[in-house]
Order: sequence, then C-alpha cells, then structure tokens
Amino acid sequence: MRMSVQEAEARVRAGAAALQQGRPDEAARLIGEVTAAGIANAQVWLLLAHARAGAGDPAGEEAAVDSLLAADPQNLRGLILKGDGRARAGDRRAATSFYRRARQVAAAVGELPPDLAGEVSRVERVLAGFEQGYKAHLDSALAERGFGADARSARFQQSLDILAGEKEIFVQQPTAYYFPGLPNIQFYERERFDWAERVEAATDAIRAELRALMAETDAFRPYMVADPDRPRADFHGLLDNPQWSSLYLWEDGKPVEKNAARCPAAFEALSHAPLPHISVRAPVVMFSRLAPGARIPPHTGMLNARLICHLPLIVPPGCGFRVGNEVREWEEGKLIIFDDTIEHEAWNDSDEDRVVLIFDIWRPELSEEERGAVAAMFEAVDSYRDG
Amino acid sequence: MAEPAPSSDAAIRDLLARGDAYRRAGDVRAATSFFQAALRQAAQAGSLPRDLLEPLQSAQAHVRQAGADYQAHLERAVADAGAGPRFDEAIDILFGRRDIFHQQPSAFYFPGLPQRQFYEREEFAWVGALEAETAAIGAELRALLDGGASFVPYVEAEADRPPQDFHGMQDDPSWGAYYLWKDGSPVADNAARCPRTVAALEKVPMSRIGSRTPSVLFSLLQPGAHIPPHHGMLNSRLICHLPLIAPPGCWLRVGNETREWEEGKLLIFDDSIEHEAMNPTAELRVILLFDIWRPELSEAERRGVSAVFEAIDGYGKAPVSA
Repeated sequence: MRMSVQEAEARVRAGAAALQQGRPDEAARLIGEVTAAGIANAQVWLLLAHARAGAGDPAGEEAAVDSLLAADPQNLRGLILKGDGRARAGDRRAATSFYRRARQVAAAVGELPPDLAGEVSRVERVLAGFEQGYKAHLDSALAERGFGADARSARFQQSLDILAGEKEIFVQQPTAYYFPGLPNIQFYERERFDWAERVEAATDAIRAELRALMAETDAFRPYMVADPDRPRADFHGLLDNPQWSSLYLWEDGKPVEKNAARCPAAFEALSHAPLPHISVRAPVVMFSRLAPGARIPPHTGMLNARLICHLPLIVPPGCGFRVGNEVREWEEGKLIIFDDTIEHEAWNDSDEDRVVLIFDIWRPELSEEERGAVAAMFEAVDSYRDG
Repeated sequence: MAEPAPSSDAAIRDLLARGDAYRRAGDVRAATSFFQAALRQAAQAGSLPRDLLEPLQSAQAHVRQAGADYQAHLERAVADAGAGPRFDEAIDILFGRRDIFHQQPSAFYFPGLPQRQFYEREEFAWVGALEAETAAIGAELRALLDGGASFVPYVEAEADRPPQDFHGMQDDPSWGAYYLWKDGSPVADNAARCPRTVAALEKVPMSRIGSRTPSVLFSLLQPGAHIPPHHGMLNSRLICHLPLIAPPGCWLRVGNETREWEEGKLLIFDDSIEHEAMNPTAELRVILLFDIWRPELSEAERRGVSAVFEAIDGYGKAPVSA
C-alpha cells in the first residue's frame, strides 16, 4: 500500500488515541497499516507493540519489538519488552541477555523518566531472581550428571565460582621477572611434592630450635630493611617495621653460619627440598614472625620462577592468609606452598606471635635447563657493577 | 621513622648529589637508583630552578647509558643459554620487546592452566595422520569452491539475543565459513560432501561440549580481510588450523607471537588469548578449523566442563509453569 507521510501521521495519531481510549484492536490495525507501508520509525514500532500487547497478540507484539530493535538496537523500552516476551515464553536465558543489555543501557543513560526508572528496577529484581534460580539450576543439573559439590576437582570448583561471579581471576604479576607459559596456580597442594613429608616430620625439632632463638633478644630484625645504598622505597609502611620480622637461615643465597650451627634440624629437613640456587637471591630461608595485630598488605613477589613454602610453627587462632581468590589458615606442621607473584596478603588478628619457616623452591614446571638459565641470568644481573 | 619531606628542590638536589657521589665512587647501579629517583621527583615537580636543568639532563644521560650497558651485559650473558623458547620469551619480556598476555575467555574460565599461546604440533600424537590427509582434504575443499558451495559469514547475528557487533565482522562475508560440524552437531549435507575430511578427523580428540563444540569448518579469508584482535569464549579447548590454501604473507598473531600458515602444517593455539589474523595478499586463504580438548584437562574435568554447558543450555528453555 502506498501512503503519504501525512496519511501515515494521521493513522498513528488515530491509533494512539484508540489505544488510549481502550480500543487496542483498532489501534493495532491502524498502526499496522503504517508499518506495512514501510515508513515506521522506532516510536511507531513501540506504539504497535503496545497496541498488539493490549489486543492479546503476544507473537505480534514480539514481532513489533524485533522491528523496533532492528531500527534502534539500544532502545531501552524495546530491550525490556523483548526481555519480557522471552521471559513469558519461558526462555530465561534470552530474557536474561536482553534484561542485562537494558541494565547496561540504563546505567549509561543515567537519569530516566520515572515510569522508565520503575521499569528498570523491576528488571533488576527479575534479573536477581533469574540469577539465583540459574545458580540453583546449575548446581542440581551438575549433581544429576555426577558432579555434585563433593565430586569436583578444586580447580573445576573454582571455575564454577568464577562463572557465578563469586570469585575473581588472579594472574601472576611478578615485579621484576616474568617467566611465560606457566599455569597460574595460587596454592600447590603439599601431597604433590614427595619431599614435603620429610620437612613436615621435622616440625617439632625445628620449633624447638626456633624457641631457643626467640629466647634471645634481638635475634629477629624487620623483614623490610632500608638499603643505605638505595633511595628509600617504603613498602606500605613495613620498611624497618618490627611488626613483620625475620631471622635468616639462608640469606643472599648462602647459609648464615651462626644460625646454621644452632638449627641443625631445620637444615637437615631443608636438604630434602629443591631449594633454588639463584645468585645472591635464593635460597632464602627464614623464620618469619608476624606480631599480634600485624597485617601484611596485598602485594606481589619479584619472580615467578620459584614458589614460596611456609612450614607453620607457631600459629595462634585468628591468623589468615590470602593468595588470589583463596584464603587459607596456617596449621602447625602442614606446609603451605604458593605462588607469591599472585597478589597475596597475611594477617595476625590474635594477641600472640605467629611464626612460620619460609623457604623457596623451584617451580616444578621448569626444566633443568630452564632453571640453569634463570640462575645464569640473575648471576649476570647481580655481577653487573661497572658496565 | 619516615624521612622528613624537604622541599622538592632540595630533595632533588640531595638525590642528584648522592647519585654523583656514587658515580664518582664507581657504583653505577647505586648512582642510577638515585638519579632515577631524582628524575621521578623532577617529573612530578611543577617548575624547576634553571640551574637544576643541566644536572638533571646529565642524570638522564647516565640512566639511559646505564640501561643500555646493562641490557647489553645481560644479553651477552644469556646469549648461549639454549634453554628453549620460554626462556627466550622471558628475556624479550624483561627487555620490553614483548608484552605479557593472559587467557581472557569471554564466557568460561577454567583456572590453573598454563598460559601458552601456541602449542607445537609435535606434542600431539594424532597430528601426523591428519596432516598426511592434507591433499585429500584440500581436494574436497577445491571441489566445494569450484562447485560454488555457499560459505556463510563466520560471525552471524544470533536470533533472540541482543546484537553484539563484533568489530564490524558481523555478517561480513570477507570471513567465510563452511561448516562440517557446527556448535556440537554435524551438518549432514556438508559432511556428506567431504567424506575424506570427516574420516581424517575421526582420530582427533575433538572437544565435545554440549551445544558449543566441536565446530569444524573450512574458514576462508578473502584478500585484504583482517580479523581484529579478540578473545574466544572458553579456555578449556584449543583451536587447530590445518592450512589448505595459504598464500605466503598471511599471518596469525596470538598474544605476543605471530606465525604464518604453511600448507599441511597444523597451527594449534589458545584462542582465549588475544589473537588476530590477516590476509594481506591478493588470493584466498582457506584453512580447516576445529577445536580439541586442552591436553591438561583430566577425563573427569572434561566431563565436568561438558556437564556445565549442558546445564547452562538446559536452563530456562521450559515454559515457566503458571
């Protein structure tokens, strides 16, 4: 049908009036003639959708909404109507997609007319219900397929937590040296390392050595110490702060002779671990004391070619430790092994000292050649003095 | 305990003086640290007294020269390391010649997997048998092209979803696809026209995830076509390309590495890492594209991932009961 713009406008006006006066069938017919003539804009499609909805024609309504969105993909009312249509048809996933897009558009627009703002809050409520129902559905559907909560590997469980938006993704962010191609694993399980048991078996003997040292004054010194030959670079107020202090068994890549003599059990136990030998940087082995109330703020380590191990020796209740998206508690005698290039933090909310034996090991994924090359590179870094 | 904060000029003068002292004493690295600190403060300070400009320039020259000397020293030290491509890449990253890329799947992230851009074909036992079929697969492809088979745009608008324009690639015919499997189901008519291709894929550990994978297709890039940088949906699979028509000069970048397709040699990569491709030549480029399970996933984990997507796809399809 050929139709002049004037005729079209007259029909739209008449249709709008009919809709307002409670004659949606007539409105749908009048406006339908305009759209059939191919001269509709987004507003006309929206009016047609309303008229067809009033006339009890949900399929026709959705078709008008589709045309509306084809003409104006970011149309907020159109996105909400499309979501409603899909929700009525039982297609919650499609409904969720359109509602989410509506939420995005509304957030970008900012202030909305009151009726539309009300619609957007309704959409938020419906979405929240869908998201909750979705999670419950996933849990039961996974259980039906043999993947109930107790049948999931730790990393599979984590993938579900990330999917549900309950956990974030953390990646390695070493401050000085990045070795590529490695998996981003926050905690390594102690069962994976055959030397772990021998180290853990020496816990009581190592703790006895520690107690003897702690009885002396000044055995520990702040973990972060200012280097007189470098500008002061404070680390979250921890520089020269005795709240986090340490006593080294290996320092600058060498055993500390006087402490070695006093900690034979610790040295014997560590001889079973694959301590990295990297120039004056590793191994680093120390008793690390966290004073009551102390907090080590979130930070990342220097290089991802190694892992850090904690053998917990004195652990009052109320201490905690987070690596990436996972929090663990130290348990006396049970190794915690983690990638310190993933953001981590620690706290001692108890009123006693917490002490762990800290040491580093080579990352198990590095070949002998790669370990040798990393060590050679740091030798070169550290031997560099005069250009 | 913190040092008092002197006025900015005085602090800069102090850092420069200490840097100079270390330079005279021959401690280049300590001097560099103090000069760098002075330069940082100078960059933050608004205006500086004129007499500071010359010493700051001298500090800058020292820092630049020290950086160059240091890099040359390290390069010499590791030149013969022979520790393989990962170590070489680490050195490139250290010197800022390459960036670090991570997996960023748009829909589903499986944690704990190695962040590897390309996998080498030698790592997979099934590769040799498939590559040996290149000529037969290429012949089936040419028959399709000669017969005017219809390729569809690789990125098609999805019904009942808000439009997601993919960098202008949606419905763009310059990136064409001819599917043998699409979103987990065989395309019977197309598969029937390519029996050798279908047979060659039988030994491949294709990823089977509900209505998502496998997809197997001839992927065609028209002359001049550019697929802009993007990330795939999942990191639980790898994408394989068997190049069939690969004019020299066409390239695929995944993360910080760019490779060229070579006819008959598989490229295997993680498409959840940013990647892009281009055909800058005047001829067609066609590959056989398919996905495989990531080798690091256990059997149970593969079944788990499939179960997740079956569960997702089974959600919200049934009409809501009144």
